[in-house]
Amino acid sequence: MPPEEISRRDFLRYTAAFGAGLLIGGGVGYSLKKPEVQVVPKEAPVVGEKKLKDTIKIGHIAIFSGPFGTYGELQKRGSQLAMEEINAAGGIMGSKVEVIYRDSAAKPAEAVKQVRSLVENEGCDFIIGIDSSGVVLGVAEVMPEVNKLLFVTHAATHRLTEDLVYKKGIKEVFRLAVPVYQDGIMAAFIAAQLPATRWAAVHPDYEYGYASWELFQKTLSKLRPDVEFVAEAWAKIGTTDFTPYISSVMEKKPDGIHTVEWGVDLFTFVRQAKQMGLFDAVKYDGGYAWINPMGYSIDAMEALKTEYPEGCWISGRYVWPYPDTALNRKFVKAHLDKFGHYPAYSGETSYTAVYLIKKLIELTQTLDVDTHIKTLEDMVVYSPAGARLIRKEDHQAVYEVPYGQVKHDPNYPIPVLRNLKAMPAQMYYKKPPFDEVPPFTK
Amino acid sequence: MDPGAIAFQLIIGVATAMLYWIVSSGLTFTFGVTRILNFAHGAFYMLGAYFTLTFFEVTGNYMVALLVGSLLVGLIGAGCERAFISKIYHLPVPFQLVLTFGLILIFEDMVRMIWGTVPKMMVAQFTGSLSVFGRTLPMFSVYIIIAGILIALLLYYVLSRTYWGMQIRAITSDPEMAMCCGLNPSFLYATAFMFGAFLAGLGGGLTLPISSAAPGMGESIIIYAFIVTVIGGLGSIKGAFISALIIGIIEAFGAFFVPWLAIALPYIALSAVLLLRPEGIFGEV
Amino acid sequence: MKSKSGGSTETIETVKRVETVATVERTSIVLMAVVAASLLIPLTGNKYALYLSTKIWILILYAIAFNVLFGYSGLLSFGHALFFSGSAYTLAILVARLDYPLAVGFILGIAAAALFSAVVGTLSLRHREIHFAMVTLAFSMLFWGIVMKWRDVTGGEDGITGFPRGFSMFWFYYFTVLVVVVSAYLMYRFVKSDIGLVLEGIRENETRVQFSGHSTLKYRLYAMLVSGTFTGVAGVLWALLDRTVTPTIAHWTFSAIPVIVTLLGGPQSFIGPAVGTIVYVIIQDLITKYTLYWQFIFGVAIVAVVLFFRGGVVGIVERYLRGR
Repeated sequence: MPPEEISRRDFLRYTAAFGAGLLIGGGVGYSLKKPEVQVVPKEAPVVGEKKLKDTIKIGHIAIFSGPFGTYGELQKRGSQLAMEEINAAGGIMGSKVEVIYRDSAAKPAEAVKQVRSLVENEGCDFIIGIDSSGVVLGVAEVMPEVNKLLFVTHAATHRLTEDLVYKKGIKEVFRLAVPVYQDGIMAAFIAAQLPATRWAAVHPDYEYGYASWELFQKTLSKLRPDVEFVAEAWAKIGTTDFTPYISSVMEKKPDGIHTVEWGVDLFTFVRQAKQMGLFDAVKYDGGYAWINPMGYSIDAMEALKTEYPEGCWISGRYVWPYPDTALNRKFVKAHLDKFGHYPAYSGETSYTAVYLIKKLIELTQTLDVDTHIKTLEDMVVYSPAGARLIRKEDHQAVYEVPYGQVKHDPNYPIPVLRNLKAMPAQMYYKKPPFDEVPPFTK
Repeated sequence: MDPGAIAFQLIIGVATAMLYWIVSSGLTFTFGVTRILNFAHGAFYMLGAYFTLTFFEVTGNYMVALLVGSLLVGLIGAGCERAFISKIYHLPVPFQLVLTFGLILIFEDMVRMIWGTVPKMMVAQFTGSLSVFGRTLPMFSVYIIIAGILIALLLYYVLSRTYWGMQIRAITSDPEMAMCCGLNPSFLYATAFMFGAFLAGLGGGLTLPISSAAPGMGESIIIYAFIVTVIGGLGSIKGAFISALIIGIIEAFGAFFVPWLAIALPYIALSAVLLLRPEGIFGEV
Repeated sequence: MKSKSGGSTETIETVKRVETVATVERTSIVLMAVVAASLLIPLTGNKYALYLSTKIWILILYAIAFNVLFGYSGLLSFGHALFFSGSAYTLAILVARLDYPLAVGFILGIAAAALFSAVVGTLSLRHREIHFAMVTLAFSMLFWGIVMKWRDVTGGEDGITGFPRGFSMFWFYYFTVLVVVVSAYLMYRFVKSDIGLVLEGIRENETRVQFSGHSTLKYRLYAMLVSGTFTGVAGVLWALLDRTVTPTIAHWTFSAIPVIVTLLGGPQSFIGPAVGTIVYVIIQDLITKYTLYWQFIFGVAIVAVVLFFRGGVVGIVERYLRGR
C-alpha cells in the first residue's frame, strides 16, 4: 500500500520536482515559441513591385491514403502544375509559391489537425483541398479560429455552402467545385429529356448518396410528373459485391438508373452491373438511361476504359473537353505533357485555386483575410472550366459543367464524351434562401 | 412476392457467402490448430489479389496466376509463422492480436510501396451470364459458388484422407498427446499457417476479377471473416461454412427487404449469436 | 483443455515489476515534473503545440481508462469506442440539436457512457478473452451502424459540427489537464483500492478468487463501469476540442488506439498508457510530415514491442534503471 501520509521530506521533494518541471518546461517552451512574424507594411506599396513575403505558402489537404488515396494524387497534379507555372513566371508579385501537401486520410480529426499544423507550424497563408464531405464540415468550423481562407476543391455537400457559409456565416470558406447540384439537379434535367419513366437508384450509403438522390427526385418530379421512383439500393463504401443490390433493384423493372457511385466502388459496380444485365434494362434508342454524375472522373475512365458502355450519361465537376477555350486547351495540354494523364476535375479546381490566390493577392496587395473575403465575393474568375462567379451569399463558385454520353474513341487512351449538354448554371444551382429546388417558379 | 425473385436472391446470397467462406476457412483453420486469431489474414487476402494480378500480367492465364499467387501467399504465411507467430504462442491473447494487427499495417504499406495507392483492376474473367428464373446471373457468381464448394471438398479431403490432415487433427485435439506420439509441432503449425494463408490468398485472387486490388481491402474483409468465424464457432470448419451461408444470405435478403438496415446486419447477427450461444454454432464451450 | 495460449505461461503479471514504494515515489516525482512542464505549453504562444497537447491529454485519459480494464483486470475490450463516441454524441446532440447548455451536455455525456458500460458489462462479462473482445466489438459496431444510419439525429456520415467549446483554446487546455489529472487520480485510487486488488487477483487466477468467496462478475462490472465512464469523460472533452463529432470515433479502428498505445507504453504500470500515448501522437505527427508510410513504421514498432519489449517503453526505462 502506498504511504497515506506525506512526510515533510517527501513534500519538499515533490515541490522541488514541480519547480524543476516548471523550469524545464519553461526552457522547452521558450524554444517552441514562434519567431516574431514580420509585420506586413500596409501603406501604399508600389503596384507589382513590393513583395509581401518571401514565400506564399498554400496548404493542400486531400486523401492520400486508404481506398480513395488516388484522389489526393489527382488534386496534387493540379496545384503542382499551377505552382510551377507561377514560379517560372516570377511568382506572385515576386514571392515564391510553395504548396505543402498533407493527408486527411478521410478522417475529420486528422484534417483539422493538419489545418492547424499547416497554419500554425508551417505558416501557410491559405488552405485548399478536401475531398470528403464528412471532413469538410469539420474543417470549415476551424477556419475562423485559425483565421485563414479555405478554398474547397472537391467535397460536394450542399451543407457546406448552404448551412455553414450562408446560414451560419463562416465567411472564410469558399468552394470552387460544383456541388451536389450537379449530381442531383442537373442529372434530373438530363433525365427529363430521356424516355425513361421508372427510375431506380444505386448509391453509396452515406450523405452524398442521400443528398444527390433527394435532389434528383425532387427536381425530376417537377419536370416530369409522369415519372416514378421504383427502387433504391444503398451500398456501403468499399462494397466489393454489388450483386444483391443490383438484383433487388432489377426486380422492380426500372428503365432508368441514377447512381452517384464513384472511385473504386464505381469500377466494381459497372463491371457487375454489366454482367447482370442492368445496362440492357435501361437501353433506349439514343443510348442508355444511365446517369452517373461522377462517371467522367479520370480514375474511373482510366480503370474502366471501354468497359464503360457507350451511350451512358456521365459528367464530373469539370470535364476536360469543355469549354473549348484557349485557356482550357492550354491547361489540358500542359497537364498531359507533364503527367501523361488528362486532368481530373479536382485537378482543375486545385489549379484554379492556386491561380485564384495569385489573382487575389495581386488585386488586394495584402494578405488580410477580410479584404480578401470582400474582394472574392461576386468576383468572376476565368479558369479552364470556364467563367466562375463566386456568389456572395454562399461563396459557391457558379459555373456549368455538361453531361455527355460515353464514346469509345481509339484516338484517345480514355473514352471521350459526345452529345454534350450544358445548361446555364443559374438554372440548376439552388440559390438563397435555398428553400426551393429548380426549376424555379418564384 | 415473386418466388423466382426470392430464389434468385438466394443464389446471389450463396455466391456472396462462398466468398466469405473461402476467406474465413483459412482463419478458422489456423485458429483451430494454433489457437491464434490472425488479423494478418486480411493482409494475406490482399496479397493474394495483388500477386494474382501481377502473375496474370506476366502469364496471361488467370487460373495459373491464381494458383501461383496463392501458393506464394502460402509461403509468406509460413514465413510469418516461423518468424513471428511461433514466438508468441505462450503470450496472452491481447499480445497476439496486436502483433498480427501490426503485421497488417506492415503488409499494407509494403503493398502501397510496391504497387502504389491506385486500385488496380484486371481484365474481366468469366464474363458471360446464365438465365436463371428469368433473371440474369453472372457467370462469375456461378464460378465463385463452384470454387467455394471445391474448397470445402478440398478441406474435407485433406483433413480426413491425408496423413498431414490426420496429424493436424491430432495436434488440434490434443497437442501434448500428439507430441508424445512423435508429431512435430513446429512443422505442423507452420504448414497450417501456410495452408490458411493459401486459402486467404485464394480468396483475394478470386475476388480480383469482379472488383479490384486495393491497399485497404484487407481491413474490410477481416471483420467479415471474424464475424463468420465467431458465429460458426472458432476453429470449426463446418461452422464457418454454415455461418458464411447464413451471413451471405442475410445480406442478400437484407439488401432486398431492408436496405436501410443492411449496414448493421452482420453486427446484429454477431451480437445475437454471442448473447445466445457465445461459443458459436459448432464451437465447443 | 487443449488450448495453448488459453492458459498462457506468460501473463501480464510476469511482465509486471513489483511496484515498490521507491518506484511509486520516483514515478510520482517524474509525473509532477512532466505535468508542471506541460502547464507551460499555452504560454509559449505556439498554437499547434497547444492543440496537439490538448489532444494528447485527452487520449491519455482514454488509454488509462482502457487500461483499468486491460492491464488491471486482464480484459481486452475491442469496443471502447462505444463509450467514447456515446458520450461525445450525447453532448453533441444535446447541445447542437436540442440547445441544452454545455455543462448539461458534458455531464449527461459522461452519464451516457456510464450507462453504456453498465449495459455492455452486464451482457458481456460472462465471456472470456476472445469472446469478450468480440462482444464488445459487436456492440460498438452496432452503435456505429446506428450513428451512420440515423441521420436526422446524428448527422450520419457528416456527423455534428459547430457547437461551442465554452472556453478559448488556452483555457480549454487547463480545463482538460485538470479533468484528466483528477480522473487519473480517481482511477489510481480505484486500482489501488481493495476492489483493485481483487481485480488483479482475478486477472491472475480467477478460480482462486472465486474460492475466496468473491463474485468475479461483480468486480469485473465495477472495473467496466470505471473504465467506461472515464472513457466517456475523454469523449466529451474530444467533442469540445474539435467541436465536431463524426462516426470515425465509433468505429472499431478507434477502439484499437488505446490497445496499441497501452502496449506501446507498457500495460503493467499505471502511467504506461500515458507514455505510450505521448510516443504515439508525437511520432505519428512527425512521421506524417516526411513520409506517407507511417503505418509501416508503426507496424514494425508494434511487432518489435510484442516480440522484444513487452513491458513497453516504461518497461525499457525500468530495465535500464534497474540495470545501473
